[in-house]
Amino acid sequence: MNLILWLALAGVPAQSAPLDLATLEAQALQRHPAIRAAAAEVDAAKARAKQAGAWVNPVIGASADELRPREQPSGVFGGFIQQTIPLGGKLSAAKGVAASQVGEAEARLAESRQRVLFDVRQRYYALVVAEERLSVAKELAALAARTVEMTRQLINVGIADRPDQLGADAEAARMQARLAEAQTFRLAAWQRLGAAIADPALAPQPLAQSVSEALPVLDRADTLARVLAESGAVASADGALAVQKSLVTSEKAAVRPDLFVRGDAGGNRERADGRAIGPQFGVEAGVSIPLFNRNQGGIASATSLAIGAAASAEAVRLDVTAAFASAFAEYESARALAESYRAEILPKARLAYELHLAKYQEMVAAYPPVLQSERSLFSMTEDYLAALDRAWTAVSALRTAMAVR
Amino acid sequence: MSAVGVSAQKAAPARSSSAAAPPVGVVTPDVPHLPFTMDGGTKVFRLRAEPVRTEFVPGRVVDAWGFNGSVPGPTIEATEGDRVRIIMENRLPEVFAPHWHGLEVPVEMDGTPGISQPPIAPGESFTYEFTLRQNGTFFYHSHMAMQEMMGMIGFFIVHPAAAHQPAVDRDFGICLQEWMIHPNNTVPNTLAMEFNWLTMNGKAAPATTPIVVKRGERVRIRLINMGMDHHPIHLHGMQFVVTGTEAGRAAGPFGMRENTVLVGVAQARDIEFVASSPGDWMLHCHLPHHMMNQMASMVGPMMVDPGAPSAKVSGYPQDMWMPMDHLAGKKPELLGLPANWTGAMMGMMTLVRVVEPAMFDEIARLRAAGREARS
Repeated sequence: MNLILWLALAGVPAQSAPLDLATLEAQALQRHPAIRAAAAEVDAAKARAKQAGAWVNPVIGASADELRPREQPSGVFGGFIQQTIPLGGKLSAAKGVAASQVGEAEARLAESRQRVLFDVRQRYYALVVAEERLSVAKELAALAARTVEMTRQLINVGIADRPDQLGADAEAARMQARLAEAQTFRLAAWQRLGAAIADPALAPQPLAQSVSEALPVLDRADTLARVLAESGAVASADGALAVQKSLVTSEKAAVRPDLFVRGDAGGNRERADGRAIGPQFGVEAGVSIPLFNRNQGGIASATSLAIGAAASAEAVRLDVTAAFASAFAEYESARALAESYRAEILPKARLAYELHLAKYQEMVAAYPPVLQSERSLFSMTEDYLAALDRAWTAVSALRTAMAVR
Repeated sequence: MSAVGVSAQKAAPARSSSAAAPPVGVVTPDVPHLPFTMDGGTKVFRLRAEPVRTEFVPGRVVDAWGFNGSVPGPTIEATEGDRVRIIMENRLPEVFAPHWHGLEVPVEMDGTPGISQPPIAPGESFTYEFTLRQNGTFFYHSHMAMQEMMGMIGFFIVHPAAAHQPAVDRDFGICLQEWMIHPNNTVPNTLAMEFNWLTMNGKAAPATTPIVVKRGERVRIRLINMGMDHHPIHLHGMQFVVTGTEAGRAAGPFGMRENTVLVGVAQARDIEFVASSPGDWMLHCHLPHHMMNQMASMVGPMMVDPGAPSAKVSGYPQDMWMPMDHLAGKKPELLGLPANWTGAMMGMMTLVRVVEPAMFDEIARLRAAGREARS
């Protein structure tokens, strides 16, 4: 365990290292109560598996037989030992059911881990975007304040009019409100991330990732195949199906009779030929005849439940496929939009701003176009961040095999 | 062809005392002269109408249209009675026709597209030939309106065989133009009705080349205007008389002394004066907006400190004081000017420098040697 991970797990934020997604993921996997709950379910299932297949305990007892009070001595006094021996693979079937229940619990644990990881990733990138949005909101608020001052100066030289000042004032107030909103959302984003890693006291600190991190390029067919193969929801459904199938096996095994064996030993106090009969022994063995009860109902019920579980697993795959379609469409459209902003729209908007600024600094152009182009740049940056937010949410879902469902 | 003409752009010769002496040549600062060849008794000039990339001030690139690589086009100089042939080639991407503004020519030579001739198609040429029966300040320009605003104008000076009396020692020509060009664009907006670049001979102050004369010399300045605005041209320090218009030499005597002459659109005005007062005298259009380059309000953080008392003064800021000596360069004509002389020299401005003979000779020597003025 490296130092940063240790610090993260210990709840001590590293002062110098920015908050890294991998560290947060490790912390969440270690701490999150949903995972601990799912892990406890696995432990319980494993314990049940140990119990499954255990033999029925033998019965030992005392017996008194042929007691005749008017004839003395009489009676047979002794003891017996009795054992039921399961036959027909019942123990094996029970072990199979238990093992499949362990598998199902493990699948739910994996699904739980996926959900936690999705939450961490989605909330981390949402936080990255929220931090950047806050920066942009601060810039816009400062820009609006400069516009107010610039408008005042324009009025002072007769170029602008009172309505222009009112418009600038209103815009500045609007930008202040948006700044407050951005601060609120940013705080909420930190708290949401803290909850995702089971550290509600997580304090704002520098983040390792930035919005400039390149979005991954995902192939539709490959990603769908991976999502279906790795989906925790699918695995859980398959686990439930496996349990139901093992229960069918178990119910069928139940039809086969168990062997009943009993051994007796005792002393017979009756006399024969003037002598006590003395010790005597007996053995009993038997099986039930599946004549009236062949567990038809149990088998039919388990079979129906298995059919239902298979249908449910298929339905889960369909649900995951549908969710994948939505997430991939969101990913593709948001990524294309974000890429368009990154590669074309923002560079052009930035260049427009820089050209206006350069000409103003050369004193050959006025200042208002500088502010206008700067505002356009920031406004477009906000749109870019919104697209990134959508894209990273979709990427997080796809990378965590559609844990969000 | 039996002879080749030469430019009269070099320093003008000294005035002849003879009343029958030929006139001095015209100097059009920053604009070349158009050479000619002789074909028998005919002076043959060749002009190309074409896109021209130029600079109003160093670094301020403009994609205009002109002639033979120059905006304004090169100055044609001829003498009354000359037979001239002008072979006009159209290297523009569209039709075009040149008009000989003020010259009395046969109508088929008038250059009015669709009336006197079909417009010259791209890649085609048209030959104009006529005899000059006037003398004075004329000009040639495209007769397509928007092409005019792209810069397509040039001087057509017709001298009398003998200099008008009293003869001038120095003769100059200045072409007035206005342009609308966005700060980050190089192409003029010819549809604009307001302008942000004002030029004299294709240069905006402080990049205009001053007129340099000796104290006591008689000077003529020919002003032509082909644009959208009229220009009241004002000379500091001296009075002048108007001796000619776009119709040629006016009838004397020239009694009304002035120091500001309104040069209307499509007009020419010749002004003459004796350079009696030594000094560096501004010559400029007096429309306030024509005394700036790329005019823009200077409100904003570069000029105004919101916390300073000046920010509370109504009307502040107004001044456009911006010394830019580096834009003027070190031309010999700038010799001896003080530092920051460019601070209020912008737009349609130049200087008439009336200097002592020694200074004049030093400037002439530097010009001849192709050297720069000392800083």
